[in-house]
Amino acid sequence: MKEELLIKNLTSDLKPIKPTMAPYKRYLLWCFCYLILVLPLFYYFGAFRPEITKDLLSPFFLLETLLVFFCFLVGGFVCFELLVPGSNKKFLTKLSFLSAGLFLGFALIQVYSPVFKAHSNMMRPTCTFEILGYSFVGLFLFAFFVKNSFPVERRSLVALSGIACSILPVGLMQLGCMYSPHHNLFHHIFPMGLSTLVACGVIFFLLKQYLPKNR
Amino acid sequence: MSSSRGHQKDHERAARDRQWSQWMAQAQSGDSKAYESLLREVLPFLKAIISHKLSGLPSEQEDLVQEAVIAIHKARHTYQPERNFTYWASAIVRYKLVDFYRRNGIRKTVSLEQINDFSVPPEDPFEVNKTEKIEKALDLLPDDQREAVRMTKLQGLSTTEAANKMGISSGALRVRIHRAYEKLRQILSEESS
Repeated sequence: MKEELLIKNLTSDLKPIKPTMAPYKRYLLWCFCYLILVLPLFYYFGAFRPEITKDLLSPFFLLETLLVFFCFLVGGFVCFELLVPGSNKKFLTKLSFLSAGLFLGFALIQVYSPVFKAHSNMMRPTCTFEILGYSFVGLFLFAFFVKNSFPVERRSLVALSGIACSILPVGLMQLGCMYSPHHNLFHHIFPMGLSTLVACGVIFFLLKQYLPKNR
Repeated sequence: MSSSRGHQKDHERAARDRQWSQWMAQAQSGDSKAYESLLREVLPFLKAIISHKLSGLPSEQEDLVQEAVIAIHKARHTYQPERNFTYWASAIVRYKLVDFYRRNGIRKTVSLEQINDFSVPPEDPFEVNKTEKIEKALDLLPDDQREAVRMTKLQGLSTTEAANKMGISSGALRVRIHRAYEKLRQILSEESS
């Protein structure tokens, strides 16, 4: 009887609703806007460092760079999938966390065993601020998409979106700032950690704000 | 023979899912008849999943089914018609179950694997109702333990209320409930093996 009443209540006066954009489309839009906003600034503040193509011939350095961009691309994709129920992207979620973990691990290893000699060619005085600023751009854009979502795996979403918003700037600095493992750790990775924490907090707060009405 | 039967079941499930997806797409464009058909068909499916996970707690099951239906209603804008409806609905039910476990502090008694089962729907959720088994197992408990479980879990009394009714302390009641769970677990595992 209760169920009958519930069905009647839910179906009577049913209004058309606009389905949210498919997760992959929202992801592509986010990526596009993020890169469009960040790449000109990256070029403005100095673009790539000289001889980066030569540096990329080192397998360890190449692997580290690939891990960052993989984490950004795949992690970002998974975040948008997690915004709607039933995406079932557990494997990709784990892979994204793994790539972020490996990147951090490699960065630490390089402090003790650098891939090549540290140099200060293309030292960017603004690198730390760029990382914080670009991360904020990614977070700001991502926050737009949280509103019409219904995430059911909130913890993974919060953690992964924090990482996905902050890891791209580190990848860019990997290619655009001087090579020095210590500098990388203190001026790139620490700010990234800070911006990840802030992004996680903001997304958690936004989910709390929007979702009680949603569910 | 059995593989062809399994194949047929898969086929039926896929056809059912296509139908549900179609109805949901129509519901998104405001077709209340399609939505009603969908809810009528999905309701037993949700009930089966929830009663499988919350066997022995009929009043909570009913509430949770209703909560799940409302959640599906509120989340209907997130459904993409080209996707599997069953996965989508199951994910919402899983969320509701996890939320229920968290609210009631009974997370410890249910393994994460069990909860995560919903990423892939059970073999046939319509055949997984185990309430009867629980009822039979409850009958095998000593009177005081059965009474403790019935009062707190079936009649929905708080520990203090139930303890007052039984004329014992809350601590003693908790011990009885704990022992009853241990015994129930033992009876059910013996039965299934």
